[in-house]
Amino acid sequence: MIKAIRFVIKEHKNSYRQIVKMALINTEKQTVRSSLGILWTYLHDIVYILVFVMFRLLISGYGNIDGINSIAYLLTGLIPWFFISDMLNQGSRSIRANKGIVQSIRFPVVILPTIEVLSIIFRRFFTFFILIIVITAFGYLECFDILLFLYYFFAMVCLMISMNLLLSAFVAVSEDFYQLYQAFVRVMIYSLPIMWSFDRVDSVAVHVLLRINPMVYIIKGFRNVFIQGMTQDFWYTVYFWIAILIIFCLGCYSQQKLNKYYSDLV
Amino acid sequence: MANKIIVENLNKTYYLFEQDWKILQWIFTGKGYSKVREVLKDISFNVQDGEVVGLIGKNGAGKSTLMKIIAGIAFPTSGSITVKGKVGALINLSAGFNPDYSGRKNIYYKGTIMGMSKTEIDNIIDDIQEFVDLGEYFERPVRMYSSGMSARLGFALAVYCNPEIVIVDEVLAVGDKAFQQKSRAKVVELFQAGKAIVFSSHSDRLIEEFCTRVIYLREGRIAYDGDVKEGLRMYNEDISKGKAAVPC
Repeated sequence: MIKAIRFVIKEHKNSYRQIVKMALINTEKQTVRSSLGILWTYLHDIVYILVFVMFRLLISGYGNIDGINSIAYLLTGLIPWFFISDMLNQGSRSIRANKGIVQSIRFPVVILPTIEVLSIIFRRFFTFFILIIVITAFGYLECFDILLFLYYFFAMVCLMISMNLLLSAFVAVSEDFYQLYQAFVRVMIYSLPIMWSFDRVDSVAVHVLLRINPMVYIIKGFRNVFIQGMTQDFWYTVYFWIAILIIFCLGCYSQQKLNKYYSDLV
Repeated sequence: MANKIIVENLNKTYYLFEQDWKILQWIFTGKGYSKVREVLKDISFNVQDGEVVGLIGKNGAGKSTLMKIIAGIAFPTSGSITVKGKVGALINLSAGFNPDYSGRKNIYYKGTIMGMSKTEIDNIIDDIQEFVDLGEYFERPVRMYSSGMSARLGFALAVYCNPEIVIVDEVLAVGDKAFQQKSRAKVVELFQAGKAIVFSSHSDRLIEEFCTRVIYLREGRIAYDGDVKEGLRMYNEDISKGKAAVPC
C-alpha cells in the first residue's frame, strides 16, 4: 500500500509541468469549436440555476430552509455541486476517454484524472463569482471568509482527486461499472443537502446513511462560507478526512495494480 | 558501440477475462481471469546503436507487443528490459491528435503529451512543417485531413523529436508515393546518424533494403536472430510449410 501511494505521488511529482500544461490544453479543447467558447459553461450553469430556482419558487414558494432564504440555500449548494458533478463525470472517464494516448504513447496514465480535475478548476473558475454576485444581490453575503473558502476548496479538490483515482481505474476496465456509476451520479444530487435540509429526516439510520457520502461535508461547508451559523461538527470533519484517506489509498492501490495493464485492457 | 536496448528473459502474458467486471475482482483478489495467453516467451537480445533490426513473424507472433514494450507503452510480465535514450515510436501514428486543432497546434499538443517542452517543439516545428508538406492544410483542423495526411503528421513528429531509438511498426507505407520515398529517406538518414532502429514489416523487400539484422519471432519465441537473408529464408520456409499463413 505504501508502495502504491509512493508510486502515485512520484508520478505526479515527476510530471507536474505536464499536468498543468495538459489541463490548460484540455480546457481549451472543449471550447475550440464553438464561437462562445468557455461562456457556454456559464450559460449552462445559469440555465440550470434558473430552472431550479423557478421550480423551488413554484413548489414551495419563497420560504426558508433551515432558517435561510431558500434561494440562497439552493444556490450555495448548487454551485459547488457544479464543480463536483463535472469533476466526477470528466475525471472518472479520463483514462477511458484517452484510450488513444494510453495505447500508443508513452505516458504516465496516473496523472490523467488529476489533469481533468485541474482543467475543470480552470474552466469553472468564475462560477464562484456568479454565486457571490447573486448572494450579495439577495443580501445574504454576511461573512465571506476567504480562509474558510480556500479550506473547503482544497478539501473538495482532495476528495475529487482521490475519488477519481479510484473511479477512473474502475471505469477504464469495466463498462458495467461505468453504467452503474453513471446511474449513481444522476441521483446523487437528490441525496445531497442541495435542495432540501437533512433536518427534515427523522430516522437516525437514514440520516447516518446520507451523511456517509463525504460530499455532504463539502456542500455544507461551502454554505458555511457564505452564510453564517452553519458550522460543521468536529467529528464529521474527522470522518471526512479519514474517508478521503481511505479512498485515496484504495485509488492508489488500484492505479498501481492496473498501471502495467492499462495498455492491454483499456 | 554501446547497447541501446537490452532485453533479458522477457515474458509477456495477457490475462483474458470472460467479462469485464471480472477485472475488478482480479485487482483485489488476483483471481477471476479465464485464460492466460503467453505472447512473448523468454526473449533475450541486445540492440546496439547504428543497428537496424527487422522483426518478422506471422500475425500474432508478438511483434507489436514487443515493440510496445520497447516503446514503454506496455510492460513485461517478467524479465527485464533496459532502454537507453529517447524512443521515437512510430506506432499508430494518428493517435493522440485532437481533430479540432490545426496541424500546427496538434504538433504542440501531442508533443506535450509526449513530454516535450514548448521550446523543444518550437525548435522542430519549422522542420516538421517542411517535411510533412501539407501546404495550407497545416493550419487547418486535422478532422479535414485524409488518413494519410494525419499519419504524415504523426510520422514527422516521431522522427523529429530527436529520438535515439526509433521503433517503426508497419508504418513506412503511409502517405502517397512521394511521401513514402521521403519517409524512407528520413529513416535511412536516422540509421546513418547511428540511431538504433527496430523495424517490423511484412514486406521482404523493405526488410532486405533497410535491415542489418533480423529477428524472427515464431509463436512468441525468438526462432532466429542474425543475418537478414537467412532469417527471411527461414521465415518463408515456415510459411510455405504451414498453409494457413498468407505469404506477403
